[in-house]
Parts: sequence; C-alpha cells; structure tokens
Amino acid sequence: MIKELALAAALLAFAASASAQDTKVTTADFAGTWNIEVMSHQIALVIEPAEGNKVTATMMMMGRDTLLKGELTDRTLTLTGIKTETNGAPEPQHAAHEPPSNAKPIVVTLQEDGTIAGEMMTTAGPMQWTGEKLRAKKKG
Amino acid sequence: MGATVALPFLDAHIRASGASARQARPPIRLICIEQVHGAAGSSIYGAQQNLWAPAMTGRDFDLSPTSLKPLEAWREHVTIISNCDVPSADPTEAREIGGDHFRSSATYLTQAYPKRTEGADIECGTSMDQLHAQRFGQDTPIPSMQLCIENVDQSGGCGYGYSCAYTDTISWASPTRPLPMIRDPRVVFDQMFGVLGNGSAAERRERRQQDLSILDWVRESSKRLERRLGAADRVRLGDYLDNVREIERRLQAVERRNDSGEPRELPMAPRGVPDSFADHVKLMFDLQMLAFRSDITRVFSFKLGRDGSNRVYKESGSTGAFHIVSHHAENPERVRELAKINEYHVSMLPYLLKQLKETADGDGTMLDNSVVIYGSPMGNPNQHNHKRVPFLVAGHAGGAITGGVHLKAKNGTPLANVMLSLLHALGHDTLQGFGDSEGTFSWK
Repeated sequence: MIKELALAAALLAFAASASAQDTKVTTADFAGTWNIEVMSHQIALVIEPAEGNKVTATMMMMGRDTLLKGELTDRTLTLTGIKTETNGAPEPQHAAHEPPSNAKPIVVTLQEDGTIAGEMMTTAGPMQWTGEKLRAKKKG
Repeated sequence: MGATVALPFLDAHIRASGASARQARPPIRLICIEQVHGAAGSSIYGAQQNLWAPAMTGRDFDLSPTSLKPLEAWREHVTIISNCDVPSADPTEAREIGGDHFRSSATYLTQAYPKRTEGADIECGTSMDQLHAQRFGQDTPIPSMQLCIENVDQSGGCGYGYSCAYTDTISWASPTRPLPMIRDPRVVFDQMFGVLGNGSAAERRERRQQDLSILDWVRESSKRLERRLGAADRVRLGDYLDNVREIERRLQAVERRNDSGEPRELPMAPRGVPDSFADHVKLMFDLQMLAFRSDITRVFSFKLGRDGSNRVYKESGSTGAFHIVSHHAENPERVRELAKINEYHVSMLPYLLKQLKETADGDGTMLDNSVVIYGSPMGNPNQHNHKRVPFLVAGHAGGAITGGVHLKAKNGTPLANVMLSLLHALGHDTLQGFGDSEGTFSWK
C-alpha cells in the first residue's frame, strides 16, 4: 500500500514537472513593460515581440534609453545592446552611444509565477535582478 | 506703527457671543505630518520583526519592538493604521518607473496620481488638509499654513520628468495649485502675527536687530484688556503672551547664533532655521500650538523631510545619511539602522501631543478636538514601493476617533480609504470619495 502511494506521488510529481516543462513559452509571454529591481534601483524594460523567436526591447533608466535586441531559447531571452539614447538626460562623462564591445548580454528568464529574473552587468559586477510586469491602472 | 496680536480663546469670547461653553463646540484642528523614505517596518524583514506596526491588532498592542515606542505614554490617544498602500504613487508607464522619489510627496495628502511633467501643466489632486481648510478654515485669519523642515524651493524639473512642485509640497489647493511650504520659523511667526503687513521692511529689520518684541507694540492695549477680564482669563492671557514672547526669544537666539559667523551645519538655510532638527521641529510645533490657541489658523501641513535627503540624524544613533540608510538592501542590520531613524522622527511627536493635551478646549482638551496624522507615502524605501506604508492618527476629532487601537487593513487597501473616513470624522460627512479611495475605513 505504501509502495503504491509512493509510486502515485512520484507519477504525479513527474506529470506536474513535465507539464511545466511542456508549457511552451513564446516571445508574447515577455511582451510588455517590466519593472526591474536591481541593487535598490528600478529600471523599465519594455519588450516587444518581433519575428519568430526574436524581440526588440528598450531599457529605460534615469532618462537614458538603451535599445536592445534579443532571442528566445526555451524560457530564456538573451538581450544585447544596440545603442543608447539620452532623451535630454545629462550626458555622462564617458558616455558612449554604442555599447562597449565587452558588454555582456542581459539574460531574462520567465518564472513560473509570471515574473522575470536574470542577471546583468553593473558597475559593481554581475548582479541578479527580478522584475514584475507593470499593472495597467487608471490614472487620476 | 500699528500692530495686532491674536488672542487665545477666553471665557470672555463665549460671553460676548452669548453662547455657553457647552454650546460653543470647539472646531476640529488638523495637522498633517509627512516623513519621507517610508519605514524599516515596511520591508519584509522589518514587518516580521514588527519594526513599525505592532504584532497585535486591537488594544493590547506592544510598541516595544516598534519605531513607535516613543508613543507608549500616548497610546490611548493614538490609532495605528497598518498595511495600507498608496497605489497613486506607483508607476503607470515605463518612463515613470524609478521616479518614485519625485512624485511620492504629491500623493501623500492627495492620494491622486501626479501627471508626469516638468512644465506648467502640473496636475495631481486637492489635498485633504486643503479640503478641510476650504470648508472649516474660512473663519480664521489664515485658512491654513504649510510648513517644512528641509529646503523645498527648487524649480523646474527634479528628475524622471517630474516638476519639482511634486517634491516640494504636500498641500494642493486644487489639482493644479500646489502651495509653497515655509521653512523659516521667523517667516511663520511674522505671517501669523501679521507682522509682514505692519511697518516697512526697514522698521521690521530694526525691531529684530534690537531684539524688540511684537508685544512691545501692543503693551498698552493688552494692559487695558487685562483690566477688563476675569481672573481665569487674566491667567490665560498672561500665559499666552508669555508663550508668544518665549517663542520670539528663541527665534531671536537662533538668528543671533546664525549671524555670529560661527560655522553652521546648514550653511544654506535661512537665518531663522536652527541647525538642530529637533530644535527646528519643536519651534515649528510651538508655532502651530500658538496658532491653534489664538485661532489664527486650524489647519497645518508639515513636511519633515525632502525625498532623497541625506541628512544625518546623529541623535537617532545612526550616523548614516538618511537616503543611503533607506536603501538597506534588505540587510537586517541596515534595516534596523533605518528603524532607529524612524523612531527618532516619531520621538518628536510627544512634544506636540503634550501641548495639545495640556491646552484646555471647550469641555475637554485640544487633543480631544484635534487630528494629527503622521506617515509616509512610501513603504519599503529600498524598493521605492508604496505598500504597507507607515501611518498613524493621534487625537480624537471631537470624539469621532476613540484612539488606543491598532487597526490592520486588508491587503491592498488604499490609504485613500482611511483618509476618506478621516475626512468624515473631521465633519466632511457628505464626501463620497477621496483620491483613489474604493470605500471607507472602519475605526473599529
């Protein structure tokens, strides 16, 4: 009896795991505006699906936009920079409109709870981050 | 040169109006205090450790682990309202993400969404202090006053595309009319006693240089008045005039110190501003009490800090800069350091509550007939979020608020619900909604 129960539990666990793995993630699952928190700062990441498994994205921080492109593999998006626009924000002393050649890609993984998480390079080294989708709400 | 000094509420006023003390129901006064950068107790660790809200709801709450510890002696007069959110301060679009410090203050008393703009087309909502002033402040010489502790007179855009108007004030006379806040206690005093309208600027300067008192202008008339008053009123008037003079002396002492050439901790602050945070806050509280006693105004808003401020509050036991400490990275030790600053700020309140309690008002005390709110539109400052914001109410609104209770709101309750119910308690019975309120909040 105990063996039967253990087998049933194992089968259920396997089925649940297979179901999660089988859920196909598409670029549409990443589409939208995300509020990313990294090192106590909030950054906007706007992701738009493009052709096939490709996306374009914009990272917005303190009036500076970084345009990104990316590709989806399994549940993970890998984003790389195209260029930075300042949007009238003060130009940093060593601002480069093109991302530095040694810039590391931003890795974005869709979590089971609908949030995203990943890692990006910062001035303090590689940092883990999490992100929630911005909720639509009424203004006023 | 003519001058006027407002009088405290005397029995003679009641006799003159033909009303009995019981009939003359005192007006409900309102003080709205904002502190920036949320609270340590709004972080997950801080909530688990009850660094802001006590563990127990109801009347048997324990303040000892909380930043509200300094209110222990005042617990029967305090209503702690925890677990509310300020969704109007949340970002609604990509470009608003990260701009929380630049819009938070605008949402505190309005509970309305601030339009992201650096131009003249600013828009938020009418603040609760102004709703009260517009309805109940019209019988007083000044409908309301707006005070602050830190520099708030910046212009143009402050960051993330937000006008500095959103950071500089918590009081909005209408959705498009932010009200300037006064930092210099001398300016508050001069406005309260109409000094600005009395004499030329040169005469006022001369009076200050000679350390003369505004009471010197009215000495003869106050003596004449004294002779016509009963014994109790004479004591009341004497205490009041002594109080005016005492505050004036302290103002003069601050100005002398700041004019002495000695180095200042706040070199850019006006000469009437004490370098000490506690001295500044207490002076501002004294001025508020003076205004209440003489019915110059019944409504104050009071901003204790500016978003992003890196002021150091050594007396709190923390030597860190406020904004930097507020970004505690969820590290328990650093969260506790922020809690020390929170507690220090809360420790200012008893000074005001004591004076309200000791001031007779109708059949009770001024604390019975006042509402003091204290809180922040930010929750966990490390994440710049607006969830589980710190908030409390002191005073009894003429009996509408019992006090001595900790009320925990259901998850997701907007603070606007609490403010709507507060406005009802203040006499705005027919108000249907306030800001982004979704309903009312029960005081039980």
